[in-house]
Amino acid sequence: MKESVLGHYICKIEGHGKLKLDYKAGKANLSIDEGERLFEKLVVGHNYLDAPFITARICGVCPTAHTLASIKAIESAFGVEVSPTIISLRKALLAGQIIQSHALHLFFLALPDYLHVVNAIELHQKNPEIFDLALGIKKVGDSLVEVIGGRSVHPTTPTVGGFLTVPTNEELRKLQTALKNHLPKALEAVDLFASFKYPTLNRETEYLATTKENKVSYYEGNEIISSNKFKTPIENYAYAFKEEVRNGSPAKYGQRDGHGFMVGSLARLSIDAENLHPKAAYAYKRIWQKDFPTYNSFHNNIAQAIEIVNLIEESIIEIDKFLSDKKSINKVPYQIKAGQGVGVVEAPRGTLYHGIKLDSDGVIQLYDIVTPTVQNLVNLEEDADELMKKHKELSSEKLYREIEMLIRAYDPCITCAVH
Amino acid sequence: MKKLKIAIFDLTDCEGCELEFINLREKIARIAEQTDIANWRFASHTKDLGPFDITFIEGSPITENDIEAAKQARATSRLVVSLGSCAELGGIQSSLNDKDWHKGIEEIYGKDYKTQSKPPRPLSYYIDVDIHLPGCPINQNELENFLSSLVMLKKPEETRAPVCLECKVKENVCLFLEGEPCLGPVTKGGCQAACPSRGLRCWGCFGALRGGNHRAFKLHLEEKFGRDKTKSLLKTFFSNQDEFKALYPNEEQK
Repeated sequence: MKESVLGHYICKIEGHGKLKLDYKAGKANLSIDEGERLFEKLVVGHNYLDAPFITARICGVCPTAHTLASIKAIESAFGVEVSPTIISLRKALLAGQIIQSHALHLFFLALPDYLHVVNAIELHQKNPEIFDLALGIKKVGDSLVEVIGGRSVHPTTPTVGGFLTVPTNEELRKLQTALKNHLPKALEAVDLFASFKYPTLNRETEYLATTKENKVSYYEGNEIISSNKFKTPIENYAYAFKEEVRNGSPAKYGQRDGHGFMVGSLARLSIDAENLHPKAAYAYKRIWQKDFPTYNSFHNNIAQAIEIVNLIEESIIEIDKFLSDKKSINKVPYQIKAGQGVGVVEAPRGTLYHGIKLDSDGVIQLYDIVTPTVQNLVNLEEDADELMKKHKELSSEKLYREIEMLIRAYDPCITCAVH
Repeated sequence: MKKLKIAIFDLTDCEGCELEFINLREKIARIAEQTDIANWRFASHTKDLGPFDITFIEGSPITENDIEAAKQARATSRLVVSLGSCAELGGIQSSLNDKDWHKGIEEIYGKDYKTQSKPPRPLSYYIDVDIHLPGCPINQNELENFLSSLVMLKKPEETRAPVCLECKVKENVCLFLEGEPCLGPVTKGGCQAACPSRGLRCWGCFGALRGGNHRAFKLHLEEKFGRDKTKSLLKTFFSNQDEFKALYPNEEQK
């Protein structure tokens, strides 16, 4: 009988990865075992309106990020300018997406390592306080996406030009109250994640994020900025890094000048922690008390926790803006025309790029997607190798476990990486 | 009484359907207390290799290991549930025919790249499936009812009505009559009209309705939207189903 394949993947990450350590050579190898899904081919020949629906299916954890990036790419190709209220609602929706994804990762995937339980559901009995905290934050993120996006997994309402339907003011006010009530909870979560002892790691690397007027912007970034002072418009993303194809790996590997770089929460805060909303700034300066960059990728966990606070604040503000506009338009008219466009959002795991080329009937000719995890894979390997070198004193079992924890701290989304 | 032993496996897909278990929040904690979730890679460190009473399989078998996992899970499970449309229908990723699938591999990964995979198929292409829980994603209420039935050792009921019925119950404006290519009339319900209720036409993600008048609907769509568009609409989620194959007997072999 063949060896069982029912238990041989790294658990508590999105997608299928296997970890092999070569102790002699001091090399860690993360192999990707996922079937090619060919989304960039699937959408070709479809009407532009189909792209946000289809590309959302790349990832069940961050479908809203894909939907929004896809819509932005199309709007950029058509030259559509949506209204400020639509932008506000999209910002709140994207905030909800990041909160629900971060909450899933922090509490359900990463936390069991630090509290020594086999899964987060066990906490229901072993540590009900933390379990309630987890569910509360998860719920507030889920509700944001359900109320504005229509559904928690694979949103239904966002479309080119705006929204198919928008929530009532009453629904939004209720949502806002829930968000406000959860701010103290989110701070508690920062407290919790700041209290863990993370493995030591100190390896300088380059961080990338997208910014507007030099401030990190989740929804409106128009420039790519790196911690090494590199800067370019988002349309030039293909020049900012290379995607390398490795035979046998259905995921590509992003690198800049032959080295890895990092995107995501830790990258965003390492580039710009100056423009956090007040409570998040408090969490960063007073609760966490260390300055980013710390060059320890395990701290991505704490960066995500701080971002949850920041995004709850952001969504409260954006909902206010939406509600204060009495004559808000849900959808702006536009004209279909031939063209190309790039759509970018800061997804939970980092910068997400969608590029599109359309003919004069709005039929998709070309589609390109670069996901955050693709950008992080080389850096993750480099970090893992560093741990192999620096933590030689550990037993092979402990080292293996530590590298698994490192992988989890990156919050890789292998399903996204293999799109 | 011994607790039901449950496993949740994922093959190649987006993992959104198994995420709906976690999205049940406090309810999943209660389900977990009343059952023994013995293998769930996505959310747990437990790696029990079976045998299982009920095994949920999400995703479509694409890689060699996907296919092997499906077979091994089948061999060690009393009941197998196809979780979501990738498992049930092959999913959105199987809307390409085999020729285009191979072309896509070359276009995206280059000429030198060698794939270890096969074009996506529904789970039932490789193994027997006992219970069907489709959707892209599955519907949370349906999942909850389903899990409650299982805990009570009752065979869950499958929805047999079209999306249209659920849409009418909600008194939604009919998107099809508004001119949208909504597939509600020929799509199996269970989603509680999640998309049309928020203004999005039905894409058919729960699969073709058994006993639906697909031929008449196809003609109607063709009149309104033309042949190519009609085929593309029906192909997205129905391409591996008998209903689609009956409508397009000369379609490129999968």
